[in-house]
Amino acid sequence: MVTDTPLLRVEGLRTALGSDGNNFDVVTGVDLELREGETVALVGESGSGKSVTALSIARLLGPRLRTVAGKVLLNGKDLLSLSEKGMRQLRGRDIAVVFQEPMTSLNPVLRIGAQLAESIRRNPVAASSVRDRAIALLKSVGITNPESRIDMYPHQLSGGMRQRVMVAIAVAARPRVLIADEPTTALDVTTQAQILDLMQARMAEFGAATLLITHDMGVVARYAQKVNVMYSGGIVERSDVQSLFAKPAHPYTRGLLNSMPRLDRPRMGRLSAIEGLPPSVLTRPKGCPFQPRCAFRIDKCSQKPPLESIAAGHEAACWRAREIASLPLDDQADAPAMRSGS
Amino acid sequence: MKTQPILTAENVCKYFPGPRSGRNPSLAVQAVDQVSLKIAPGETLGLVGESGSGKSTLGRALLQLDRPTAGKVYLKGTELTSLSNSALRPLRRDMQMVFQDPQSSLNPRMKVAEIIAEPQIIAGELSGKVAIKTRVEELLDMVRLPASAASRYPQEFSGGQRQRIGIARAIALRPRLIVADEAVSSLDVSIQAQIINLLMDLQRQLGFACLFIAHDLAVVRHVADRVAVMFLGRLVELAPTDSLFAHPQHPYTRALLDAAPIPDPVIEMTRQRSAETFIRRRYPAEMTEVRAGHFAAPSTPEFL
Repeated sequence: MVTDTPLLRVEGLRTALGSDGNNFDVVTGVDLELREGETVALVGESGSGKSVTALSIARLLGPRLRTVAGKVLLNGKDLLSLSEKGMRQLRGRDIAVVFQEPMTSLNPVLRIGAQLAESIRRNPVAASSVRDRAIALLKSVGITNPESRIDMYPHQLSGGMRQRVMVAIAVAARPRVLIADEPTTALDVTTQAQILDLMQARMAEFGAATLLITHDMGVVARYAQKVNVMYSGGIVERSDVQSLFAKPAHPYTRGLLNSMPRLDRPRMGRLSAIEGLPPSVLTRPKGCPFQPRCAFRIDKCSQKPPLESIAAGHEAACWRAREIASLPLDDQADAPAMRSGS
Repeated sequence: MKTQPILTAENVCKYFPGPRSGRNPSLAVQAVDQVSLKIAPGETLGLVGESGSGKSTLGRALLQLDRPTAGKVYLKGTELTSLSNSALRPLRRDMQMVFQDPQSSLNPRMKVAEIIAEPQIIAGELSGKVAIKTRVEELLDMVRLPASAASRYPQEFSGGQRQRIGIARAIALRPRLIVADEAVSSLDVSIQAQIINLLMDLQRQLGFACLFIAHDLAVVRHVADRVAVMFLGRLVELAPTDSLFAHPQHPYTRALLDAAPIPDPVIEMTRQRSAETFIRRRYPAEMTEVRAGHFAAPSTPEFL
């Protein structure tokens, strides 16, 4: 089902904060590719620029942010060069977004049926069948009693229910690309599993691609085929999901995986935390942005490493990526590596 | 448990007036219903459950921040629910809380030094400029913040650093029990690990017991000696950590474990997850001991 030409290709995306002349890059040049039927994860911590990347792609940036360079090609057409009107026609129908907070993205004064109908009508459909389609959609995202829930307002639904409605609205127009920005972060783990399962099933049905933005490596492992790890505005590692988890090549990815307590491993005495804090756009260091926190730092890290291929389908932006990818994934291995590196 | 528990809860209930309850208490929302548990000195009891299950309400009821509707709570043998607020005050030093959101739980108009010295000043055990400065520096050092943090305001710090300030305030009176209510839940993974390590180091150093409320099962398994699972206001399972994760009894506990994604794509690909994760809302029955120290509510067939 996965074809060779990407459905969505993002090239050199740069989005900056502040008015002209006073630019701080929040997204520092991101390339991404989504193919038909694929779920691609974009992982990172708060402030890494992953949500701004998503908003830039859908052209939903607020007034303080501006995309200053790059291309967003959907089926070869550059979204960044479209007029606002042209973009509006495309949004929802070709590219849909699910946000983390459904209470702020649903219209509080419209019944959910009306909000679903708006999305259903993005494609030609007989007026008489809209309500039935809406009920079927609600049912397909696991909402019980859809016949009565369709006439409710968002505030009458629970958080999990609202997020299901958001997913139903997003998939209603059968978009080619779905951008899901932390779609289940505020929800309980049982609800999260239901919603992500349903979302993935709906998207697989019509071979669309999903950009799944999350901070949860467990969600990545379960739902994604490819992963982009983002740190301080740029992608530091990109790989198919298996080799990222088996052979993480960037010290940050490695640190993330080592710092999580895990249900599938024996209990450890102490977590190996990444010390320090991620930089803000104002304090981003020269060279590699991760170097102040990095156990593998060498002199060369004062120059920014490019995102380079280290194995088939696996890229990393680290001068020591090959060496690091070959290390076993456990805490002890990092200590000698740190000594030889400094 | 051979030693006297730090905290004992017996049939603690916390009801809130419901939408249609009026004066009829039987229609009240039973946020916490008939919860009994014990926490030993120095022990960490994990408390998990979905949002709305009553875990935060239970934590607050145990500390008498919200008075329980019924039931008894003993702190080192002293019954708390029958005490007046003023009689309770001297006992509060032994039980402190760390909140989820250090942004809203730290006074933005107070400098960090004032925030963390305040509990001891109010308790009357700290006074004088030099003594306060020394103690503030000591506390900051314990939570690995630089002494220069003292003269700054909480909003000048990142989320993880603010949580360190909240912890410094909580440990200032050397409490015997800390209730950590989703204390690491809103932090990024790399910062979360730092704060978990800090809490565990401080616990080893100071010997306080901890009620660790969280929804992340992997985090709870890492920190807790025993784990309690809460569902619809009741405990449905209470067991030593290894026993709970190796032999989950209650369908809700199993559903939680099933739903938690494992950060390993190979495991996830081959993992058998029960297709039906929807849980019918039915009040769980009382727990019985199913293994040594492992209590669980019976899984009635109509539960799932």
